[in-house]
Amino acid sequence: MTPKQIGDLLDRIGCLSDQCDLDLLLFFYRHPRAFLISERLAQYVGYDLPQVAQSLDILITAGLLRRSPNATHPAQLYVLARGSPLGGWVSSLLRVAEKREGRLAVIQALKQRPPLRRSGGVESEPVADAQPAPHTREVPNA
Amino acid sequence: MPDLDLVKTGLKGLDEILFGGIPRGNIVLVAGTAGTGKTTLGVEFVYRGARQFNEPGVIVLFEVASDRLIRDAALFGWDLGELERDGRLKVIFTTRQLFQQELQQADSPLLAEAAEIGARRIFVDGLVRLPESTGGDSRDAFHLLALESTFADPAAARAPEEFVADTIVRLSVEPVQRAVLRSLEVVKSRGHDYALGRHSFRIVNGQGLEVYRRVQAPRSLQRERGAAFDPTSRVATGIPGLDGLVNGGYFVASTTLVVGISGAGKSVMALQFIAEGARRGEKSLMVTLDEPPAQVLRNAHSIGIDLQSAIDRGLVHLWYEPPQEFEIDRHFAQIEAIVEDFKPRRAVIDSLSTYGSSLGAAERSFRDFFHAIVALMKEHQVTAVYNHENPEMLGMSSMMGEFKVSSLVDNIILMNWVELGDTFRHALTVAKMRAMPTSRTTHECEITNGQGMKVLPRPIRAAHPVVPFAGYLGLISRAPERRSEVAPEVVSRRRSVRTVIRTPRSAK
Repeated sequence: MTPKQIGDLLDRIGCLSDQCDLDLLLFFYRHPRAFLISERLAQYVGYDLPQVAQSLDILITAGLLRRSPNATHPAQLYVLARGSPLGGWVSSLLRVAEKREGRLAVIQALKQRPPLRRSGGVESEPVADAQPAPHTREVPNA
Repeated sequence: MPDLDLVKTGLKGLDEILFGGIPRGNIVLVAGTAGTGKTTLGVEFVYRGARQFNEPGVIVLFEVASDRLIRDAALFGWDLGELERDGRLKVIFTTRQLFQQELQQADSPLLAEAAEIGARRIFVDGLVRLPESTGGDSRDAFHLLALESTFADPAAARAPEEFVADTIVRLSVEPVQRAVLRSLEVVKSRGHDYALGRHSFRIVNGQGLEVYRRVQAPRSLQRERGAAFDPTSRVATGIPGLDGLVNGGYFVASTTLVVGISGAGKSVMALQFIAEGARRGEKSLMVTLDEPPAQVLRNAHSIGIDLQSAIDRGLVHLWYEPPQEFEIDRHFAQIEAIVEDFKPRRAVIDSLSTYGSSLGAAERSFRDFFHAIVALMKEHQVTAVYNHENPEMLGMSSMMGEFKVSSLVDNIILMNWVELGDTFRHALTVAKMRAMPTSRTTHECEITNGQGMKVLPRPIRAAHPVVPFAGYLGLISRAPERRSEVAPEVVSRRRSVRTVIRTPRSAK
């Protein structure tokens, strides 16, 4: 897929602006129904907890991800929303991004896009002490 | 005694070993080293439950990614994605620690997630420490909990879960020479009976697990009762001249062993036995281990038998299995299935010695296998002929050599070569006919191109007059000599003289 095609896909999906958004989405693409505490989720994807929390909110608001309603429970069930209106575009993007080269191409495309308005701070980068989820080899710093 | 509520696993052959399934509510531990098939068994258990028994299920993963599990399951034709979309399956990725905590909490979102689809089966792909209490929420929520564990050395340690689990199924891979054999053993299972011992299984692409009950495991009593003969009916052998020697034919459901060196005519006899069945409209099964079907068809054609036509008419089932890597439990299960489905009246196995070569003639498994197959044929009232190759070219010092199964058979026919002048000629002796009289005389046979074998008529005038045992010396030594009219002490003296005369000659 060409950079332009990747850019088109990102335009259609709209909500993705950050590397952490992409890596979280990739994680849930591999584990469409995950029951985890947020700290462990952050370790799996390799970002700081606030970054992960922010990206989770973006994905949930965009209807790409559902989270169990019980906010008091320490662990949450996350379910990838396959039937969302954006589902087809997201699947196409993730099929590209699940390979290392594809992921790098999508990250490059994300960097070239004008930043979307985010509620908190700067563009995210993976943290050094990331703990990869099993079989999620494309997680940075794994 | 109340009826047991047994959960059928749906895995091919496994419920037979479990005598119907696993008692509902049992916690099942599936143990085995890496690569033994634990995950495949667990996933199939949930898949079959959702697909065949309308019991939705949950698969809990700690290490394997869901998308890979779904991809691998597709190799077996299991569409887990479809089940998820239909609300009959949930695949949940979590951590061990979290899962263990959740099992003990009544308001667990994980349990609620399972309850949402009415999950009746759960497979946990990885070892977890279960709550010490055996009556916890997990048991109330799910009717069956399947776990798996991986031990580097299955004999080295016992996981604590082994004591908590109600049912333990152990999978293993054993090296057999340069091949490997997968086996499954139900180590324990509370609340019901099951078939003990290690049973073979295979993981078959497009299908899943296929478990084969070990051939030695006792079968139904009905199988043993099948040994009773119908004394009034005979099964024609198809060999001209032989029926007369065996009182009109073999008994129905009897077991006949045809023993002889390669080339003595055993396979020809087998083909004629099958062809005779086809001529009479009786179904026959021919199991060939040494020769592939094309070769068998060609051989049949050379003696005037159109075997292909009999196959096409549904009268003959020709089944070939190359003997290189026998899995005897599977092989037996396949024969059993053919006998039950095809319902032959006659059967030929060519040859028994090939089983011996594959299994080891001295091994008990060979005898157990033969015992099982004889019982199977008797249960289904199949008149069976087994060919056995005896390596001795001229004469026989032992009928079966190291294959000590002659006591299991009803009839034994010895095929020999007899060297007369410059020619080997075929000879046939009916050595054993259980429950029937037999003369044990040796008869000449002839195999003719386009016609097959026939037993030549014995000359009306016997070569020697029949003399009572009293007319012989050396009967016990198996080298009898006709007693002369002279007194025994004279014969004895003559022998001594002969010996004396020979001595100086041999001294030269």
